[in-house]
Amino acid sequence: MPLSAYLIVSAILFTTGVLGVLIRRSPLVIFMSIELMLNAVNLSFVAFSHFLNSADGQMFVFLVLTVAAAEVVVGLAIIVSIFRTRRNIDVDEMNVLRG
Amino acid sequence: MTNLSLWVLLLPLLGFILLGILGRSLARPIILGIAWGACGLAFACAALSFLSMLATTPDAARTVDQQVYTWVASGTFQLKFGLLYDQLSATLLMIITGVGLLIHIYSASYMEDDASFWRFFAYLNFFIFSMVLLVLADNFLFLLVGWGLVGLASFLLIGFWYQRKKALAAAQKALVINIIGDFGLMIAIFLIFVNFGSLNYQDVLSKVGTAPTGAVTAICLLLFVACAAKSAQLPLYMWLPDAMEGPTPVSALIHAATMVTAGVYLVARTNALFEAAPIALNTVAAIGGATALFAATIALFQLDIKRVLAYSTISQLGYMFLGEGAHNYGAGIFHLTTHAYFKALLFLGAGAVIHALGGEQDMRKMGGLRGKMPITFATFLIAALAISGIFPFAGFWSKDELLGSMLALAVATGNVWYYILWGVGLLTAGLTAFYMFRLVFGIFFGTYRGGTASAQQEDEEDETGGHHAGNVRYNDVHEVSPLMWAPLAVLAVLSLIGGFVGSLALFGAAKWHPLSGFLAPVFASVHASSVDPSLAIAWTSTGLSLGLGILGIFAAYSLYRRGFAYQENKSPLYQLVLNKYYVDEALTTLLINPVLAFARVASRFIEGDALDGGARGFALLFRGTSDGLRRLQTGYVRNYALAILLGAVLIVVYFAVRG
Amino acid sequence: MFPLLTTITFLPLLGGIGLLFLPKNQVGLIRWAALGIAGVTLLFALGLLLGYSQSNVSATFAGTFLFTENLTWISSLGINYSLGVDGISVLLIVLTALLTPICILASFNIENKVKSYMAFMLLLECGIIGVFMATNLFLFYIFWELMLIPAYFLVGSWGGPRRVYAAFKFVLFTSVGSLIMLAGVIAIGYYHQLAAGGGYTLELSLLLNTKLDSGVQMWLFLAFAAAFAVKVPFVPFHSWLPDTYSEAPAPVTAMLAGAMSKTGAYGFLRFCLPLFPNAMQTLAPLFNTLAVIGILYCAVLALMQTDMKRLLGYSSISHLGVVMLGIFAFNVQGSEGAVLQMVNHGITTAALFLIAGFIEQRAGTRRISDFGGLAARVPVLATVLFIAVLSSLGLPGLNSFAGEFLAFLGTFRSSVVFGTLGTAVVVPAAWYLIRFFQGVMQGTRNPEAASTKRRNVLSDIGLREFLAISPLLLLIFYIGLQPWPLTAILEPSVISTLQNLGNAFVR
Repeated sequence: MPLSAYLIVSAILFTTGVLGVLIRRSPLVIFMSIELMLNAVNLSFVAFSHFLNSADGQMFVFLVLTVAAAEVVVGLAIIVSIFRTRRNIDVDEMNVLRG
Repeated sequence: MTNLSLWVLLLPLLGFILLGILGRSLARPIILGIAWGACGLAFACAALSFLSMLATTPDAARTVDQQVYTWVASGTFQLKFGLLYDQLSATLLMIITGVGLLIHIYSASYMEDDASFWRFFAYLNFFIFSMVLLVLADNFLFLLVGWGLVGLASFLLIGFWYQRKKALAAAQKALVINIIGDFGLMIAIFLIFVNFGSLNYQDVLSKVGTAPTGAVTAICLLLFVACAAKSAQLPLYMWLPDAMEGPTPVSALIHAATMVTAGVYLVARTNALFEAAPIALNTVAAIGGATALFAATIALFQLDIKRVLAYSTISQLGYMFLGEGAHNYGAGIFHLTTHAYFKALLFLGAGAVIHALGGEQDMRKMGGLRGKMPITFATFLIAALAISGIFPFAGFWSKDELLGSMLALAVATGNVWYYILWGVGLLTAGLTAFYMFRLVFGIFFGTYRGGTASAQQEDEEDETGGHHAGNVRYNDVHEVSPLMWAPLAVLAVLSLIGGFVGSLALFGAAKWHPLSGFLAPVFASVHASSVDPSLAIAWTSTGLSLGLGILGIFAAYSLYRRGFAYQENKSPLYQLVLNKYYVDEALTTLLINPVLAFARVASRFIEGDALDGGARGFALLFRGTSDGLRRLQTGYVRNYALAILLGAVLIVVYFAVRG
Repeated sequence: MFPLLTTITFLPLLGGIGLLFLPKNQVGLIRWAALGIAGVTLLFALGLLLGYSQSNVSATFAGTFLFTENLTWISSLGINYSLGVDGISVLLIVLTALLTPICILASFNIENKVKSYMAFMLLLECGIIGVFMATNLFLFYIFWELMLIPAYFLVGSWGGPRRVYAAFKFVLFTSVGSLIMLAGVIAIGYYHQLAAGGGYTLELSLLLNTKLDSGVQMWLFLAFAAAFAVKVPFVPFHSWLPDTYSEAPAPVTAMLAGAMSKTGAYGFLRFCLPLFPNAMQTLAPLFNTLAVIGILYCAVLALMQTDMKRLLGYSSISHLGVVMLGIFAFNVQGSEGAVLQMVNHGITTAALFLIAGFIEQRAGTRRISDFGGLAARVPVLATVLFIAVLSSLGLPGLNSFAGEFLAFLGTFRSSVVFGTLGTAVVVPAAWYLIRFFQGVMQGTRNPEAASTKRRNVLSDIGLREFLAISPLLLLIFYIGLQPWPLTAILEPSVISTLQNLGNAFVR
């Protein structure tokens, strides 16, 4: 399979993730969409790594996975704490920073 | 030569400082001791120096320029404070301290009931100091200092009864108009420095020829602005009649005998400049003549005796300028001297009457005082004869010298304007005699018209102090105390014989002219031929003015010999003159009110709306902008994310398109 | 060598910080400590004056400063801690050091947050003195902004009812000007480097060595003038002043009007004139016109003011216009008159504002129409006010006359029109000041007025108040009688400043 096939899949995944982030109101789904975007990037890393015969891409994938895990932990903690104070985790309700 | 002029200056200052600081807590005899002592010692020093000067023979040795200290040194502008003691300042010092001393004595009795006794004498001493400074200064800057300080003294004394609104308004007016004069003097000083590089009289007057005539003319005209303000000449005379709100001794000292003659002194002092600027000198003569006539007409119908005397002073000052305008500066100073005697006497006499009547100044409520106040009457009569120019009183000699020089100038040049000025002078002499004797008959002849219950309005506004317009019955009127009539007597003697220091050329004694001979070195720049009238001219002028004077007295006699009967006169001309030609009203409407209105409008609209509003508008602009930008902060993370995405896409597109 | 200038500048600052450690309720101790600090600073300043006048003054002919201190700070940007004084600044420093203890003494009646009030007063002194001493543009800018902070708090926290508005306006106006000047400061180093080569520098003595191109001078001058013109202030940038002066507590106003307002005029003379001589001369007609308009316009406005302190504020603008005319005359009399007038105005206006404060404190109002006839009740206060009023209207023989006369003479020598128009202010000045004095002290009391209802509170001047005001009165007489010692100190420095003008300079 040509490289472009991997990249197309990756782009589709990334776009799906972006749309998810922008459109969905549940923070959990937004998180999953973010994961989707990260994994789309991971896919292109791995694809490039294979076609360029370089291990660098594989290394970055691990870095991204680690960061994603850390991010989920922090993010979920924030969501839990918001839920505790407001009994609601709809992102449209979270606008206290409005100017 | 013994020169004690510095002491003449410092003694009154010392008196002022002592009285100013301690006066409140001192007993009246001590206050009088200090005030009289300061003025008396100053007079003694002046007299000693004067006699010593008379004994000094070469004329050149009579002029002493005593440098005291460096006032300021700035680049090429170097100024030392010094005292110039010469024939002119010696003459004036004698008058200032002499008349000043008499008035100090008189005031002790006149002001005896006043709560602010000490303050009055402190101010008087301060005035003597300032006037002496004005006369003694050896440069234009300290002339200005003296000029300003006498204005301040005048302000303080006019507004002496500071609870009275009228007195305050008069004091304010006097100060502001005098400052207009100071302004003229300042600009003149700047021009003098620019043209001559010095402000010292002797430096400047010796270099007159080096400056262009235009500059000298400008300097002289500006100096004359100052003179007109200080000496109450047209068009800056308005303050002097109002200044009569001050205590009467003040009117006698400052507003008749000394301060108002400062302008005459200044023109005489700077005669070399005026001689080099014929246009300016003609202006002096013209303004002097016009003022003499103008003020004399107003004096005809005034009802307040002090105001009559005030307009008379303005008119007589006009005479002095008229004489100076005819190149006869000596005659100007001569008339200044005799005027100081008889006008001080008139004011003090009027003050005695006012005092005896408990503050009444309205001639309609006087009359028949001849029998009750014989000394006052006799001295007042002498002064009236003197000012009317009747032989052989002091005014006769000085006035005729003035008019004679004017006629001589007219004949010599053939200029019709000089003839007109001479005619104006003659006419004024007749008017003067008329209004003075209207006053004499009104006050001392006929029957007493005061003492009725209606005689008390005027002063309802004053809270304390001052004199309440009296309601004194005829039988309660008494001659004033010796302390008050003694100065009157001294001045009466001077008014009687003071003229004999003038020229007796009229009567063949051509060599007898002690005053003009004494002053001659000061007026060295004047061409003697232009002022000395021939005997025929002198007799023509003298005969006419004497005749007109007698005519004026006769007219007053025929109208008022049975006393003054006031009748309302509705004719517009009479009303115009009675209301002083409505000059004050015109000034208020045309100048003062517009300025105040502008200030009011400007502080509302320019300051408030335009500038403050502008600043606030500018602030609002920022607030509006930030209000608009604030809307972008929705608080929704999604919107921010979308913005980031769009930004990222734009960057990618940009690079893609650019290749 | 003993760092005299640093001591004078930072003693008030350190003292002010020290005050903060005193216990809050020991109000008396705090007041006396503040007075003591200001007093010691004054002693040092007098020592400086003595030292300066005894040094060989002709040494300053070359435009150098005495008592200089130099420490490298940020060498790559040419920013140094450099202080120095010449005849011009030494007088203004002594003036500031004199006014501070006087104003602190006059503030003893302030009961609210005394500690921070006194600390801010001392900080203000530090800022103003620093402005007069700095010979590095960056350091100058720092002190310039430092003045603003205490002034803001003093007006905003202890002022009258509209104090917050006034303080805000004051800060906005001055900081807009200052920021433009900051741009100018940065730019002048750049252009200097461009013209002269070498490193970037903001050191005044180095900047003076190179004459900039006329076009560059013009823009830099305008940038500097923006800050100075607001501070002086020139009409139409004066709108902050009447509000600030009338709302601030009287002793603070006395400091602002007496000392701080001089920094603007000082900036023109110290920096603009030597650094941008061509631009100064090109734009002189503009600035002279603005000055004359300000002089006459504000004098007329003062006629109709109903608020004592506003009236004095307008009077202050009018008087400082005279200073500006003197500076833009470009001759010795003009510049010396201007500096002399700065000193005199500082003395006189501080006295006037302090007296207005005494009256306000007694009567609880500033409206002139609420008064009248006070002289009978408070004769000494009336006399003191009268002397200050006479000084302010330029009575010959008192201090302001000497300065005004020289400044007008200088202006007249360079331009007859501006000289005449400027001098004409003596007439309206006399008019409004006498109206003011008569309205407050003379005549009869307004029966409806608040001051009448509180008449029992009206007492004559107290000992503390008299002590505060008496040095000013003595100086009013002394300088009027003999201004020569002051001009002697000024002369070499003024000449060396004016020599930067080249041929245009007239003795």
